[in-house]
Amino acid sequence: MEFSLLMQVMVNTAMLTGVYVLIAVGLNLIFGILKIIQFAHGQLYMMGAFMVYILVTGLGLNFYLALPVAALIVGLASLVIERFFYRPLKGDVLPSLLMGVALLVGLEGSFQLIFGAQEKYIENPLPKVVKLFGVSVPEARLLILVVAIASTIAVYLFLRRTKMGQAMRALTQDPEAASLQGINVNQIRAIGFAIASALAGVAGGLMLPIAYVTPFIGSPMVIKAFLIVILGGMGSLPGAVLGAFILAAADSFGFTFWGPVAALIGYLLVIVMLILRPRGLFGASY
Amino acid sequence: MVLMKVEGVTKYFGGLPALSEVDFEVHQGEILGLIGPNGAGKTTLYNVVSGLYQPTKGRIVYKGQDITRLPSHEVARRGIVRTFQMAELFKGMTVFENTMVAHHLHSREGIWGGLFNTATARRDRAEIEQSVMEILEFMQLASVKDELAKNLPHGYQRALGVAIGLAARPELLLLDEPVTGMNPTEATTFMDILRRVRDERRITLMLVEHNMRTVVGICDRILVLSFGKKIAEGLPREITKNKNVIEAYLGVKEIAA
Amino acid sequence: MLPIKGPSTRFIGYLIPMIFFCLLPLWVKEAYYLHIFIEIGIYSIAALGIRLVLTSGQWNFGQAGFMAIGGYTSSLLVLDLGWPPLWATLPVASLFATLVGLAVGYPALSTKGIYFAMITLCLGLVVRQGIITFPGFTGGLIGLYGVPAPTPIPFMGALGNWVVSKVPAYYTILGLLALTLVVMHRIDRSRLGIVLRSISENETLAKSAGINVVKYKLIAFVIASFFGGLAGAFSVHYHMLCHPDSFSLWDSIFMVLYVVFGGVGSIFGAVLGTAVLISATELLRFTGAFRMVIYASIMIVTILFLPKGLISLPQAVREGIAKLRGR
Repeated sequence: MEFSLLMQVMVNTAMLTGVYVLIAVGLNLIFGILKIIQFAHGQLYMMGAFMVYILVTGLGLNFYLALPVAALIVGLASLVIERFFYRPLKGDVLPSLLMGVALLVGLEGSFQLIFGAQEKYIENPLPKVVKLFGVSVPEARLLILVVAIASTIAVYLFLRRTKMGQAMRALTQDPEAASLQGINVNQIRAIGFAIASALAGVAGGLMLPIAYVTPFIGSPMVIKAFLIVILGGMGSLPGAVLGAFILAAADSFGFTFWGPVAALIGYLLVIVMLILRPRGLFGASY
Repeated sequence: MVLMKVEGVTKYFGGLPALSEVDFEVHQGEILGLIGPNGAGKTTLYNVVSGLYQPTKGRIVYKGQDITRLPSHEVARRGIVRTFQMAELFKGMTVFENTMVAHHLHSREGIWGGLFNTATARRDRAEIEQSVMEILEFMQLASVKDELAKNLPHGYQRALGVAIGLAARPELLLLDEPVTGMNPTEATTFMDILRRVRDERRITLMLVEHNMRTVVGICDRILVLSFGKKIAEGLPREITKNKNVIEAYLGVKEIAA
Repeated sequence: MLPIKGPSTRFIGYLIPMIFFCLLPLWVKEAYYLHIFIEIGIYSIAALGIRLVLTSGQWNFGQAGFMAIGGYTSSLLVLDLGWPPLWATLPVASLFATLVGLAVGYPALSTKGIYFAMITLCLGLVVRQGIITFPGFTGGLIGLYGVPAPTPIPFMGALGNWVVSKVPAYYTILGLLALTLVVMHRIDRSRLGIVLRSISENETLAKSAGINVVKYKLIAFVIASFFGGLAGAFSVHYHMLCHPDSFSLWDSIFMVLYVVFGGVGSIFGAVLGTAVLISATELLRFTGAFRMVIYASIMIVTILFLPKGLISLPQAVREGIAKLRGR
């Protein structure tokens, strides 16, 4: 195969890994701390993209400024979601799942009402292409990877080095013991939820320059995120990263070289994985 | 006659031995007590025997057959049924339904029979209902047969746990702390019922209990575990005088005068 | 803890609605409304399958996949092998779906609950992807052309023609739904039903009582696959279209929603939930994106305030009144 095609696919893989990591790490975090399956997580990705769109085209804000602002907005919005829609369910898995679906539909519909179904674009603030190791890499795509790496490291350090991060990890291991130790469970959960959602929002914003936003970009993303989390193991950060990479590689290579049969084999492998090693590559056993 | 032989059963959880080389026999028709301080491995032993866990080493022979690797529903079918410490029940179902489920093992109603409500299915169901009522009356639960299990007072829940065990028609019934927490009167009544279970229904019993007086009062033989090892086995009066047993429970080397 | 109700509806409770629905086309002649009823019928059948699996404590997120299997099998039998549509193909398509359920269910059910749910979710994805991957066989993303409607019912004249009138489809699905209801009702009252419920109540205890939990979960799953395939096969001949988008993951998820929304564990609840949500979707269709929002709002309100599902509304109202009185 052509070298340049291969390189292109690899660049694509790297970029997709970045996007997927941002989303999967968040989903994993939510699952670990709140023990719920946040089906509407993809909508926060969508919201992030919309926020950046509004800030850049509506308010004329610089793209680099719009990203953190959008992340903040998405984080705050997610606090509302957690407080009023998930918390009343007290961690019940099933109602939370259904609430996630309901929120997914509701958010998609709401955004469709407000913004319509047409694709929205912004001008690419990073139209240049950079030469890395003899390969042309669009800067916009590189940015995604850079932000993803930085965020993952930040999350990792946060979880390991800060008090709040450790509280979150305690919650993941043993919620009852954690609350007995005086950890304000509700607060930690809310913050964890917000961080995870903000990450997803950032991913959406980062994708905007090279893609577009519609109210519908969230749903397929959440499915991917779940596959990643299943593959990598729930509640595992390195698992989320590895899973993201595997899926990104599969999506890029598979689609380019093998077409739809790649996805088919992929899904079958996930099933086999669930049967043989359900805890994923790195997950802790239940 | 030896009903069950446990040979060299060892169970490791991670690096920790919950059971080490446990050897004993259960004789048909006896009431065998299983005692030991907390954490000695009594419930683990039950779990291994009943097929909930697989032992790391060793085997379990029941009526001449090696049942070590069998899953728990198979073990129950062969005749070994256990009850649980916290009186595990089908909480959302009625007392009657709870007991009836366990009886299913011996029902002849097939899937098609149920679907078409055949005469055989109906007759079978009538027989089961009779049999279940008999068990409920035996356990003095008939009056509450339509109550939801979760609404029952504690003592009744324990009785229901045993009723479920009985409904599965065991030859060997493993009881896990059936009277812990009961007041002396309740406990005595319960013990009488257990004696009747052995005498009238010809079921061999194994009994895990903490109350020494209860155990000594009802058991024909006693087996003592400590830290996963068998430290004594024999008649009640021997066990109460056994130095190792006393030390395991009280941690003292001398018998207080 | 799932509030699975035991069988409590008397058979007579079904008879009156049945008569009502049999006579309905005499009053309701508009094709659109009949169409809604038919859609409710189709999805109720599939949803009842999901509900059955739910009584054993398992979540099935792949029912649309079984519908697709049923639909495609039936279409291909007609288009490629010339079988008469629906009457001959329905049983075969349903049975094929059942076999797939057996093949997948057996290894899948040995895993813990949540993993099984994920496997079923992936299963739906696999089916859809399989359809897309082999377009020569299945028509891929374009779907299968010209899936014929079933042959007209002779004694009904114009009303018996599937292409022209909705009436034959209505009665057929009514009959199929009735059949499904009878089967589900009987299962609930039988030994199988009580065993399934005991598994969802307390799996460990059920095992200790001698119940082969995997076998019974499998039986429920296989029966559910049968009805999924049945609904799917009917659906393609009714719509005269066989397309992968008719059987998407979201359909699977929504069907689970219908069951839970209506009232987990209750047969009537499953049908009610399906009826309410599908009606809402259809009737609100004209409002465009609004309907998604209204739909979601209905769901959210129900999840927050009626966690046991729509069917617990009378009870919740009663409790609410009692609380107010008690003040």
